[in-house]
Amino acid sequence: MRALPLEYSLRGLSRGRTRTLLALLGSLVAGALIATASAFLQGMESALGASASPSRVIVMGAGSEESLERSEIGARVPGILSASVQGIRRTAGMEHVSAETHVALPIAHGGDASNDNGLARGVGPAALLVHPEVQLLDGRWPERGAGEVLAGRSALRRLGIDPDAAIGDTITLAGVPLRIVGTMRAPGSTIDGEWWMPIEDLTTLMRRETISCVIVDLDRATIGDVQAFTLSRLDLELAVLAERDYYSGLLAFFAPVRVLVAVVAALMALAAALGGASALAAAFSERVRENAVLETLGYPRPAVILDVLLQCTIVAVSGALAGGLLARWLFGGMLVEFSMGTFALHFDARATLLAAVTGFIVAIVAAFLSTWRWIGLPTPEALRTT
Amino acid sequence: MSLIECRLLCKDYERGGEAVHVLDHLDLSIERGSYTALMGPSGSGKTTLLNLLAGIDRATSGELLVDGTDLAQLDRNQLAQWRSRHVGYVFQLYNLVPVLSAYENVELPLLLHDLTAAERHRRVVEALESVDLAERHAHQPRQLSGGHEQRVANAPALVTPPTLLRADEPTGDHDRTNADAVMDLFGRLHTERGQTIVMVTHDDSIARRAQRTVRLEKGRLAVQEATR
Repeated sequence: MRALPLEYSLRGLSRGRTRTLLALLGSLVAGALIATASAFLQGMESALGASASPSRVIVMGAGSEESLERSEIGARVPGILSASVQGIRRTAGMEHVSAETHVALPIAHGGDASNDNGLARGVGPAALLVHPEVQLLDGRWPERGAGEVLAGRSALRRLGIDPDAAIGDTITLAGVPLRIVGTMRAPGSTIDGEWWMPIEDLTTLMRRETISCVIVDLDRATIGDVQAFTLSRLDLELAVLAERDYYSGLLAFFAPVRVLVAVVAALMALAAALGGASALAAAFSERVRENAVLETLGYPRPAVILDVLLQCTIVAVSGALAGGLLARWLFGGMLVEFSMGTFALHFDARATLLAAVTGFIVAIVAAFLSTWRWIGLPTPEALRTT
Repeated sequence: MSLIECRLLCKDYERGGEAVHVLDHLDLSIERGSYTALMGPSGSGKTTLLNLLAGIDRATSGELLVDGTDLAQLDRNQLAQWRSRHVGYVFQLYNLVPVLSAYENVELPLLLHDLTAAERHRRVVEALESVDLAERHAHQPRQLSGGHEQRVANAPALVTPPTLLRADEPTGDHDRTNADAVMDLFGRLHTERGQTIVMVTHDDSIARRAQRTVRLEKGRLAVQEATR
């Protein structure tokens, strides 16, 4: 099949510039919406995925319904567990067993009255062993009883604090002033949006005697060994969960939110895409006679349709790709707060690809709409069309 | 020797639920190298016949052989390929592609043929020279006057060169000078190249330029006469 020259397709785009521009704009909006929705979903997935490790297990309260914030266990559990389970990972004689308290508390910076909640985690030095993804960037570890806190970079940005100039600044957590003495980062993980402080301080702040959980990094031991321990000590009322399962459960918990985001973005993108497609179709449907002339000269119908599709594709895909890149430029790295902390919009190749696919769908719809009338007309009649 | 053979050719259309017989069992032969004018009142079927001969439309029944090819046996794409090899078109409306230059418009049908770029160039330049528009080769249709546009529109029909030149009201709304220029071109093509031409016209003075006039009435052959 002989195709029409590319030159013809490219010059064809210069006709009806207003409509071409409108189509470009519609595709741009659709591409931007789809790419942003993808970045949102991908950001949430990678934040929860990066927070889990296959070798870590969480020991929590048996009646907590797998929620760390609801979980309460005795403060002596980490010691008993450490003594009872063999094969826990050790570094320099220190076992990877981290006693932790997780709680969401009202947070504010300076004199701002804020309704924001910050995710606070009470930890000890072992936390750095079981969470190797955490890097202490600046400052030092908070001292017990000194009203100090270690801040994740995303948590700081969320409060409008420059992470590079945060040391020495003060925030209030549940009305209690805390001085930032260190900053940390945990790329892609929810920990990046957390506030860490000594577990004793957080327990005091919460006026409770229990902790939330124990995170254990296993070496030779298996999750079965930890389960055996929890079953042998029913008096402690413990449950054990692989960290990966915990975060998968969270992802499933947020599934309705993710579906809603995807559906809303898809509906909005559909409206924009239809606008773009109809502008393109209007521009091309004026070419019924021209298409008929090309067919009469001997260009087969598929070649003419392919040419229309190519022109629609150039406009719609470039518009949608520009939309994807614009969204990346505007919203890339933007922080989104959710109950498990904070995650950043993650624009990756998938977001760009989805934007391009959206553009291609717009092109197909436009090509279909714009050639439909010509295809339905007998050639002699199409040649008389004005 | 006949280039075109029509036997019991019928073409029906449906309008408002009723069948309209535009061509009614028409028998007609057109010799190779002949110059024929199709005439008749509006609705007599002359443009429909011209479209059938050029493979733009399909007959409802009957037989149509052009240069030995039964057009009814060709599918849509085969018919498109056949047209590109055998038919040159002069349309009533100029039908030039507005974003292409005069040169590119003339070149468009040649791109369907296996020709080198040099050979294509030679033919396009020759065609533009034969319509006295070589110097306007870079102009787009909107940059040309009506007369010049018509002359450019004639040129693609000359480049292949076609087995059959199909012209529908080729002088259209032109003034006398431009109409004469078109008819002079057809005359030269016929006498110098032996080009077979079938032309629809309402104008007796134009029809007299042809060798033969075929008059249709109500889809049937009414008169067939030699004009010169």
